[in-house]
Parts: sequence; structure tokens; C-alpha cells
Amino acid sequence: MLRPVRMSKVKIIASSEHRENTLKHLHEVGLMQINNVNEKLSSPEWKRLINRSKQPEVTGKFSSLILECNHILNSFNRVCPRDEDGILKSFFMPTPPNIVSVDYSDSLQVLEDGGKLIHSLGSELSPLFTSYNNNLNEAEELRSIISVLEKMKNVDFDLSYVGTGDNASLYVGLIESERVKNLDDAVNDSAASHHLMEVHDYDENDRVVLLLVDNEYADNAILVARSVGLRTLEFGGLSGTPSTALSRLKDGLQKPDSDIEKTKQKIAVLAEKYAEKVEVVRELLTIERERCAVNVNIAETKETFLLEGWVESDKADSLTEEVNAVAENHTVVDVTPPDEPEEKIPVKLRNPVLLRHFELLTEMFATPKYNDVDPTILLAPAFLIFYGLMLTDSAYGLIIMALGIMLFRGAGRYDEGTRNMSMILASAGFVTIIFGILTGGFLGDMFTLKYLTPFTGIKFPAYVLEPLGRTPVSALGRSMSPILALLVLSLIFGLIHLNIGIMVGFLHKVKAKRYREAVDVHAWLLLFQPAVFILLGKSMMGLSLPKTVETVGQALFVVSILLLLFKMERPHINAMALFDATGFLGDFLSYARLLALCLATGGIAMTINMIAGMLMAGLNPLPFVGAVLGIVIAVLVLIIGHVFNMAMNGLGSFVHGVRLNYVEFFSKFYEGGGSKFTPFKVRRENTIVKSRIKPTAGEGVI
Amino acid sequence: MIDTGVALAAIGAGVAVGLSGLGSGIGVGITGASGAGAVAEDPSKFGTAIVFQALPQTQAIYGLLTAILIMLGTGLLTGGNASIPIGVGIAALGCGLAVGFAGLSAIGQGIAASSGIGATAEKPEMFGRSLVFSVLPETQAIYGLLTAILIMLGTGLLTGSPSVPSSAASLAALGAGMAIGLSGITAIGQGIAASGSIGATSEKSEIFGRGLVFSVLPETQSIYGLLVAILLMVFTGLLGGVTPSVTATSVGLAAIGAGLSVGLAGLSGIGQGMTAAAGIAAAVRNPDSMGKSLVLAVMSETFAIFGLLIAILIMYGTGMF
Repeated sequence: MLRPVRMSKVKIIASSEHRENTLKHLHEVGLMQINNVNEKLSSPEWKRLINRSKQPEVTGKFSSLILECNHILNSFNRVCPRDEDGILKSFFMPTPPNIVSVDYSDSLQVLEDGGKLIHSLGSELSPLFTSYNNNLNEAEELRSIISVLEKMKNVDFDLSYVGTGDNASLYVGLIESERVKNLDDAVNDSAASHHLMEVHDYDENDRVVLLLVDNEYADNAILVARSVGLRTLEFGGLSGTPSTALSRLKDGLQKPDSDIEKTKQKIAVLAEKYAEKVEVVRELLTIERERCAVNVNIAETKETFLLEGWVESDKADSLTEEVNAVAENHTVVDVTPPDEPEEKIPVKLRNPVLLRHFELLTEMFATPKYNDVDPTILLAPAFLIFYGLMLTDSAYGLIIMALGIMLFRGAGRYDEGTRNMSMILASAGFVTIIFGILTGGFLGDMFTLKYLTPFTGIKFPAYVLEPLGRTPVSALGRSMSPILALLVLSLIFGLIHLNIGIMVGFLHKVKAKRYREAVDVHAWLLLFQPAVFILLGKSMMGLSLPKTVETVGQALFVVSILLLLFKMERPHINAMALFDATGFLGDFLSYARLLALCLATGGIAMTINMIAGMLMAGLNPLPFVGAVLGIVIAVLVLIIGHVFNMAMNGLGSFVHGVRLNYVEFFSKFYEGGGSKFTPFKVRRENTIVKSRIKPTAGEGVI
Repeated sequence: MIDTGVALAAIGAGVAVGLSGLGSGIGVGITGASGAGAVAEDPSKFGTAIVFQALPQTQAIYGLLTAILIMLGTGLLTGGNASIPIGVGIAALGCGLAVGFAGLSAIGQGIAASSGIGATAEKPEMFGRSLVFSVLPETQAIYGLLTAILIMLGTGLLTGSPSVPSSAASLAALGAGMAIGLSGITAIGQGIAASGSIGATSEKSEIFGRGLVFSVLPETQSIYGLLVAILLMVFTGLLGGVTPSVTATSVGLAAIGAGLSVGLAGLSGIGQGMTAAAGIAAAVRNPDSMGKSLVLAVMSETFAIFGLLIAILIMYGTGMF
């Protein structure tokens, strides 16, 4: 909980006949992260003894079968796409993935059975897809000609005459309406009286032009016509007037269209029956391929194989048991504590149930190094308190908590990221409810406003202070406005938070025996703060302290400044370190944002309530509908306004709560930079293993 | 006929909606340009472009809201003879400055949102994170709106019985408006940093957390501004219903000085934003450089601290606390 899980290095050597089985069981059990043997092979000693393993030849077959599966599934999706969940549904009530229980213990059997299904399905589907695509193309072509003919169906000429004849050529083309005159002039210039031109309506931009030119002048005329903007059309193979050709083509569409429908239905039936099976097969094949691929990380000799990696220290024993059982004790399993540098040891966090979800926030910043502190346990309560203090409204908190719970039971069941996020939201919402009660905030001041009778004067009985109210509170021995009280509270939270960070950093460095660094970075702050408190206490807060305490304060101040300037590591004076003091002041004041965001939420809520109230009061006097209209508009304003406020400040509180932890807090002690522990583990979405396959001897000899 | 107080409040209303409209206009324009580019490549991105373009518009809404509230509170909208004390008018001018100048944060938000469109157009899964980054520069506008509301609350503009505790309070409200408004312009720096972070996260999604850290660095300046604004209002009795320690006009004028000090120095956030943007890009190339880039980025903050320090000393020296 306070540190990442302890890891052990593990080396496994076993006899080659058990290789496939061992890998399969390691994959299912998922306890070990397998390292690459590259490093070992770079040492000449080892190179003499071992070789790198290769992927078995059958890997290629798995890969090509997976490609075929993908091809089939993609084609299914194109022709008859499955209904996807809409956004809301996918968050709150997602359709569960289909899960099939399997019992495959033999990879060759997967290849055989899977191959049979895919190949037979493929051969059935292939002609269907081809016919579908061909028909689709044909129909498209027909449709585009139809759309052109549609626009010129009133023009009377025979399509078969278009082209070059014995004495003259007929051209049909489109031109922008504004350019018809240009075309007319141009053609008159080039072909004078040796042409006939007709212009008819086409659509809102273009006109259709029929141009009949004497063959002598045809080439020139058409060249000139095109340069002015005429786009010629081709009607190869068509005959009759546009309108007759049109009806003929439309009839001609019926066959391809109906073929498309029929093919689509056949494919749909197959998709219905087989799509999920293909997905299952694909998953099984992918799993087998992974098991083949991992061979690249393994070394071998003539009779044995060797793999190295990491395992969680408390799971090392069960790992040893598993491997021994599979390989009939013809193995050596060597578990040793790690001796690598910190950065190379993989990191896994372990936290109790509720805190576990906040690991998402820790890792969003950086994975800890192996010997670092796991800050999740500190981050979670701090984040929650900050969030609650910044959002401070029970109504908003209630809605957010409800959203979080609904999300958890919806998409959170199938996706780990969503599950973590939803729990974070739910707990943040809960804390906000508490802070809302303490500050009397429920939809802002809706229940205390005089604008919205009959709710006047109702307050939560437990409220401690009203941030935007006028009742002074007594704190630190005198009466002050609630805003000032909250400001002081925020800054005190900040001071506590920062000092926890400093203490953790200090203790951590001391434990790692980096004493000089510990003193250089942190010690001065621990003395500086009480010194400042004592020195300023008198003037700012009117505390009267005995003379001895004052002298102690002055002494502490001097010592801390000296510690700040004189660094013990490679002894030198660091004048730039004075910026650390201003940096700390900045960090300290940064916590004032807790007050700012608290007021922002309350202030905006108050404004919304006020506007709603004014609208209601303003519309009330209207005859007949006044009262009702007033209420309707007011409610509308309230709903839109409060939803907007909740969304914006909910997001803002999240970002700032996270930011205070990342920037001000983590910078005191946390670096991160570790790599996550990624065990060689099977990933199943659509399959589950029916029974835990007990390893038995003599299985699966390759 | 209206009197001078109402006239001053009217100027405040104009400044509120005018300046924030300027900010939103430019910000929305920057985002829109990016949106046009995205839509040219892929027309289905129109919806995304509209969503991002909506983000910088909120500042103008805040400005409009403040202007309307000022006009309602001073009776300008009810027609006829509106009359409020001059002090309240000056305070309303302070409201206008707060929301108006802070509304220029929309320019920063526009810069970030335009990067967001680009990133989402390329990788639809970046939508959520780009949205988070684009919302960051909104904080300054919220602080501005908040200060304006607090001033209106304290001078009774919202409750219908306008009055100021003293002339110091009204001038202090002006100072508070300048403090939070001018320092709110650091959102431009925050927008530049957020824009850089969106690019970095697009390339390497695990750098999201560090991108957030870099992006919020320029926000500190506006926190200082907010702090000074609140302190000025509390100490002159505008907030909190406690008897103020100072009432003289001269103190109020000094308060304007404090506001200018922390406000103008707060503009250093623009420089900080530029360093932060480069810093996160460096962290993508070489993760070890993050610490040093962070140090380089916070250098600009020193000047804001100087501003804050002087502001606090002014408040101390004039006997405010």
C-alpha cells in the first residue's frame, strides 16, 4: 500500500519436451513477466551455451487464418452492419460481449477446427461478396446515367445519333448558364452557318447544349466550345429519346437491385449464424499466436529451454508449483531477490479496495519507481477533500454520485478504466454532499433566497458557515467574515498537504541513505515555517509571545536561510536557491484556489437563482398565463443554468484537485519513471476456459 | 435623468461586455479557422469543430451577464430616474474591468481549442483530453466573474439597496477589478501551454498528467490576482459584513496601485506559457528533461511574485491589516 509490490527475479530451466505446455500454462496463469534474453546473449559466455529460440513454423498459419477472420468480419460489417449502442446506452447499459466457454487444450486442434470453419465459411461467402460488389457497382453506374438523363428528359433527340456521323457530328454537353452567350459567340465564330445549336434547361447551375456541326468544322468548333466551358457527355450504347432511355434504364435497375437485396439477405443469415463464432475463433487463434510469439524471448539448448523474468514475491511459490507440475519436476526454478538498478524492476501497485481506483490518477501522472513511495494513499483523501471543498453543493454532489454509480454498473462492468473513473466520481460526489451540507449549499442558495418563496429561510440544520453569506464566524480568536475564514482554512489545508509532502520526501531520502540530499532539499523548510510563523505571528495575528520564543524564532529563521544557501552535497553556496523560497510561497498561495472555486460555484448558482426569481416575479403580473409562464420559464432557466454550472465546476474541481496533487504535492517527493509490471497473461474477451486445465504428463509433444 | 453614479455604472457595463466580447471574438475566430481546416479535410468533423468553438464563447456570456446585472441593479433598465451613490458607480466600473479584462482569456482558450480540433480530427480518442485542456483557460474568466459578483454583492447592487461602506471601498473595488482582470490575461499563456500539451498528448498519451502540470503553471498569476482582489474587498469592508479598518479615499487610491501591481505583473504568465509549451514538447522527446523544463518555466513566475509582494506591502503600509 505504501510501496509498490515486492518483485523477485525468476529463472526457469526445463526440458524441451515440456516447452509448449509450460508456455501455455504460464499464459493462462499470468503470474510472470517474461524478459527478453537479448541481454544474456550479448555476453560471450552465455552465447556459447545457448541460442535464441525461434517461433514455431505453425505461427504463420495462425497469422494467415487470423487475417481471413478479419476479412470475413470486415465484410460482414460492411454489408450488414450490426447495431451499435448509442452513446448513452454504451455508458449506462452496454450490451454485454458474448462469451463462449471453451475447452481447447491443444493448439493444433484450434488450428484444425478453426481452419475448417473459416475455410468453409470463406468459400461460401466469397462468391456472395463478389456478386454483391459487382451488382453494387453496376447499380451505381446505372444510377449516375439515370440522374443525368432525368434532368434532360424533356429534350427531344435520339441518343444514338450522338457522335460522329457521315456528314456531321452531334455533341451533347453541359455548360454553366452564365456562359451560354460565350458559347454561342465562340461557336458562331468558328463554325458560322455550318452548325445548329439548341440550349435546354438542365438544373439550377447548368444548361444542356445540343451542338450539330458540319464535319469540316467539327474539330475546331468542339475545341473552341470546350475552351469556353462546355463539358461533353457520352451516351455509348444508348438509343431512343432521353425519356424512353430513362424508363428503360430504370427498369434495368430492378435486376441488380433485387440481386443486391437477395445477396444481402443470404449474407445476413450467415452473419447472424457465424459472426460471433468467427470472433471466438479469432480470439483463440490470437491467443495461440501470442504463445508462439513469446518464443522469441526464450533461449534454448539442444535438450532444454530457459526463460527469465519477474514475478510478485508472494506469488513466487505458487508459480514454482505450477511450473513443477507441468514439467513433471524436470525443471529448475530459481527465485532470487532483484539486484538490478531501480529503473529496471517492474512496478505493480497494490492498494485496498476503495483506494485501488485512485491508482488511475497516480499512474496518469507517472508510474512510481520500484523504491518510490506509492502516493495513492495520500493522493486519494487529499483529492476528495479538495474536490468537495471546491464544488460545495449537495445537489450537484448527489447528481455526480448517482452518475458515478450508474456508470459503474453500466460500462464499468466491462472496462477497467471506466470502472475506476466511475468510482472516483462516486466518491467525489459523496464528499461534495457532505461539504454542501456543512455550507448550507443545495443548488446554491435556492432554499435561503427571498426570491423563491415559499422556500425562504430553510437551511440545513448542520451548516457551519455560509461562504456567500453575511454572518461572521468566530475563528482564531476573533470574528471574521466567512470568506476570510474559508481562505484561512484553504491555506491551512495547503500547509498541511505541503508539509506531508515534505516529510514524506525527507523520510524517503533518509531511508535511502541520501542524507545530504535530504538536508539540502527539505530541511530548511521544516525550520523556516515555524520561524516565519513566530515572527509574523505578532504583527499579523496579534499573538503575544514570550521573549524567549521570539528569540528562538529569529534563530530558526537565520539557520533555515543558511541551510537554504549552503548546500551540503558537494559543499557550495547556491544563491539561486532563494528562488526556492519564493517557489514555496507560490505553492502555499496556490491553495487559495480552493476558496476561489468554492465561491465561484456558489456565486454562479446564486446568480442563476436570482435571474430565475426575477423572471418569475416579472412575468407574474401578466393576466391569465402570467403565473404559469413565470414558473415554466424560471424552471427552464434553473435547469439549464444549474446543469451548466455543475458540468463546468465539476470539471474544474476535478482538474484543480488533480493539479494541486500533481504540481504542488508531488513535486515535494515524487518522481515516477518506473515501468509497469506486464505479466505474460492471456487476454480473453469472448471466451472463458470451462475448466481449469490440470497439467498432465506427456501432453502435446510437438 | 440619471446621475453620475449610474453613468459610471453604465461605463462599467459597457467595458464588461465590450472587452469580453473582444476576447471571445478573437478566440472563437482562432478556433473557427482551425475548424474550417478540419472540415475541409473531412466534412464529418463539423460537429467536433462546433463543440470546440463553443468553448471561448462563454467569456462573452459572462460579460453580457455582468452588464445586465449592473444595469438591472442600478435601475438603468427600468427607465426613468435612476440614482445610486457615486461610490457604487465606481465599484460597478470595477466589476466591468474584472469581467472584461478576464474575458480576454478567451484568446488563450481559442488557441487551446484550435489545437484540440486538430488533435481530435486526427485521433478521435483525443476528444476528452483535448476538452480538458481547452477548459483550463476558462478559470481566469470564472475568477473575473466571481470578483464581479462579489463586488456587486458587497455594494448591494444585487440585493436592491446599493451603498458602499466608504470611498476607500469603492476605489478598492476598482483596484480589485484591475487585479483580477489584468492578471486574468495570463490565460493567453495558459492557452499556449495547453495547446502544446494537446500536441504532446496526441503523440504520447501517457504524458497527459505532465501536460496538465505544465498547462496550469501560468494560472498562478491569476491566483495571486484573485487573492489581492479578495483581500482588498475584505479589508475595506466590501465583503463579509465586518467593520473595515480603513475608510479614507487615499487608501482607496493606494488600493488601485496594489491592483495594478499584481495585475500587470500577472501578465508574465504569457511568457510562462510559452516556456511551458516548449517544456512539454521537450518532455515528449526526452522524458528526463521534464524537471529542468519545469524549472525554466517557473522562472517567469518570479516577477508575478514581486508584484504580489508589493501589493501586499502596499496593503500593509496603508494600514489595511
